[in-house]
Amino acid sequence: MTLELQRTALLPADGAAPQGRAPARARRRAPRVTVLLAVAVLVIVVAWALVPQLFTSQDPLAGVPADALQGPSAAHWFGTDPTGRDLFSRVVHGARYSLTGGVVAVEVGLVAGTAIGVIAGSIGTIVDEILMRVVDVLLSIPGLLLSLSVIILLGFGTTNAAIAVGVTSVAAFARLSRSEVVRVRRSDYVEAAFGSGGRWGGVLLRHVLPNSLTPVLALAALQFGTAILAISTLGFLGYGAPPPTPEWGLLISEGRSHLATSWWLTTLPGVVVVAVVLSANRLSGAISQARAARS
Amino acid sequence: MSAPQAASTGSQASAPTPVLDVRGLSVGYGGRGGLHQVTHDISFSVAPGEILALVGESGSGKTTTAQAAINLLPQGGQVLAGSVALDGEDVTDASASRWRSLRGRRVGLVPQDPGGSLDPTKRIGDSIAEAFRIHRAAPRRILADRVVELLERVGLDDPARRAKQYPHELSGGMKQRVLIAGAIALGPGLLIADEPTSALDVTVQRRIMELLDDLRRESGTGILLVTHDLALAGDHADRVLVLQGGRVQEEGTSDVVLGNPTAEYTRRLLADAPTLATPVHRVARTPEADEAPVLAVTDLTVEFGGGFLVRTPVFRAVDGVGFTIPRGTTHALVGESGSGKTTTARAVAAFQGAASGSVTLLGQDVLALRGSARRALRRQVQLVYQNPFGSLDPRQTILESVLEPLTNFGLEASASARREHAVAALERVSLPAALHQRRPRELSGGQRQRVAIARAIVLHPELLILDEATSALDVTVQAEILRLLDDLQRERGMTYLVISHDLAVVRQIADTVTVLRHGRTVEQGTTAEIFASPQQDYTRDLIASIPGGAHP
Repeated sequence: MTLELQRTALLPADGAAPQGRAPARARRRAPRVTVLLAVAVLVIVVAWALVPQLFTSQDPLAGVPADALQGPSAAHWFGTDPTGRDLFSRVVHGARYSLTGGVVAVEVGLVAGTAIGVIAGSIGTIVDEILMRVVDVLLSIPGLLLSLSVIILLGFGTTNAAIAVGVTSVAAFARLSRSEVVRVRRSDYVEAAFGSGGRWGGVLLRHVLPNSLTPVLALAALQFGTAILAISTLGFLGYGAPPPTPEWGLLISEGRSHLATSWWLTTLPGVVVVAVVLSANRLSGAISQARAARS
Repeated sequence: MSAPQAASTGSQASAPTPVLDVRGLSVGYGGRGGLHQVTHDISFSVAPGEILALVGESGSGKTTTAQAAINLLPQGGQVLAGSVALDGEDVTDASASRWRSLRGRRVGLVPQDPGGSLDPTKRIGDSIAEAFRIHRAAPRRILADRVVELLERVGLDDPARRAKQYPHELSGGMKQRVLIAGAIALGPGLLIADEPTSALDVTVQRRIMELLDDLRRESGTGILLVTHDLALAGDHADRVLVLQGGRVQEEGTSDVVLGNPTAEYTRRLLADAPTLATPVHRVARTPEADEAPVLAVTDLTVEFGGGFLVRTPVFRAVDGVGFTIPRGTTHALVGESGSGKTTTARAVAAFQGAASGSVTLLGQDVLALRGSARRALRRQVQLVYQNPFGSLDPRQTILESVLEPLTNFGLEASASARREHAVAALERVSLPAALHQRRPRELSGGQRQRVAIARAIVLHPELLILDEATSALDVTVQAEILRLLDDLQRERGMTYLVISHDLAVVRQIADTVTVLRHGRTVEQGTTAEIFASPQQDYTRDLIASIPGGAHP
């Protein structure tokens, strides 16, 4: 579903040198600021997940019925929900579910996809053909449909939702890592490494993998954002964590019935999700650029 | 070749308005580290019907100068001082739109790489017609006729059919003819040809240069020829401008610059670029009568295509090639691209299987070896690639690259002994210790090729295969590498298999030669015999195409 987006994000930036000197410096500074911002957002969200009690003293699960449905204020930054629970506290505590979900999803895609891609790319022949046709079948199924099918097989829950999302990205990781491995495998220096008496496994580990996995890492960063979005989608649809859990998708879903009167219930968790996804995207772009600049 | 020179020398006396006049040109590139000046105060002019050659090595500023003359400097490049005039009109500060109307009409460009310069989705005829369309220079109904005329003018056979073909259906030489046709379409007074033949085979190179010669003689077009090949410039240009580090080293008629150079740099260039006239100092080792050769190839045949599920037509890249190389000597495989010389070498190095025939290296049948036996063979045969930029892992330091073969075979007793051995190999190829921790991208082309040689010799192989090992390098660097290889051969008694399209180099370094064409052996013998009395037309043609005939 996001293949086109990934492709554009992973293309190396044009090496066009800026014309003048002063604007060049300004243009070079600007991306660095957005990268710093992206890193800052991710660091804060990770901190939320690790030590939520440092950021909020309110209980995410117990509500004060008298304070129900209050707008954002100094006491409740993100306002409160229908049962009087502090929304900011729920978002902070929810980071743990969304982030671990994203990490699990990326891990599933990265490990399974890269393994398939590297095996297909380095062995070639009939193995390559079979594995890649399986990947083609995976690619032909819409992502959401695939994750829904997987989650129905595995059962509901945060981890299962994450695995289901991870399965949808296996094909993208497999394709990318295969194409990179094939590109590097054909290079003179790999043949030269065999010529120096290298064994198959040694050459794969020492030359092929290090030179082919940078774009895969960039894709992993991109997938992290996409996975959080997809997990929130599953949570919104009710396939993720069960209700009292403050998972981000579930928060947005619960706020839906009060959309007309209490905008903050859907908007503010939504803004957090968007910020995290965009930050992961920006970081992924920065990895690709760094790679393009090095080669 | 001497007649047009005499003619143009005569026309110079009457001093017509030069088609290109460059005065005191300095060009710089702006970058992060400030402005970097690459050419300094360069002046020259090209008269109608004259060929002026800008000669120099990479980084000498010859291409930058040509680009500045047609206002096509890459981003960041700017003219710092000086002036450029086309047909007497000062165009130094001409606007972008003025330049668009000048390019094509007044000055045409023949690019370096004919393969990448034609739109692959456009028919040949449409590509050429574009020049007319952009400048609205011909009515649509006669466009097709004009295109066919032009294709005929540049010597393409069956021009009407060629106009309907796509670039991939044409050979490199034909594509270059098409590009020349596009450049002369609107009859510009000046052609800028930037290394027009360096991507082409030597026989094709000669024909393209003859075409350019004809054009300037018949149409009076002035040609600015940018080349690294002093001998080529001497054969075809009326005057030569030698550049080094962005400065003019020498300027004069070809006779004077090549026959009696005054600048030290020109003399070095001439000495380092071998021609057929260069004396050969090589003393060949004479093998004993009963000595077994290091390498014996008999009746080798390599085929591509076929396939198990999807059948493709079988292409026979090497067809019954055979030769032997005695210990301590050098054998050369020569031929044009597609002659099967690289495929033969790869079969010898066990990188390529064969359909039939045998390759015997030190008594072992190379083609039959599999697995660990083939791996063990790598200690005896090493290959140095043409492109030093691609044959080294960009992530490894050069010491790691050279260390790797030793680690792979577990040679030497300890890690530190292996390290010493690798350092010794790097020092043998004159790479100082300061460079050992650098990565390939931090080195020049010549230094990288030294690393590749160090990696090959660190195992003390019997046979070293050099696949166009010096053809990507500047002539002075090439000369250094060739000297190094010669020293190594005498020191260690190594045997070389050299693959080259450059017969002048082959003549200097090889003891025996096999001439290949379309995968078959055309002629075989000692280097002296082949060059002194070639028996086949193809060999004669190859030798006659070596530049440098005009000024021996």
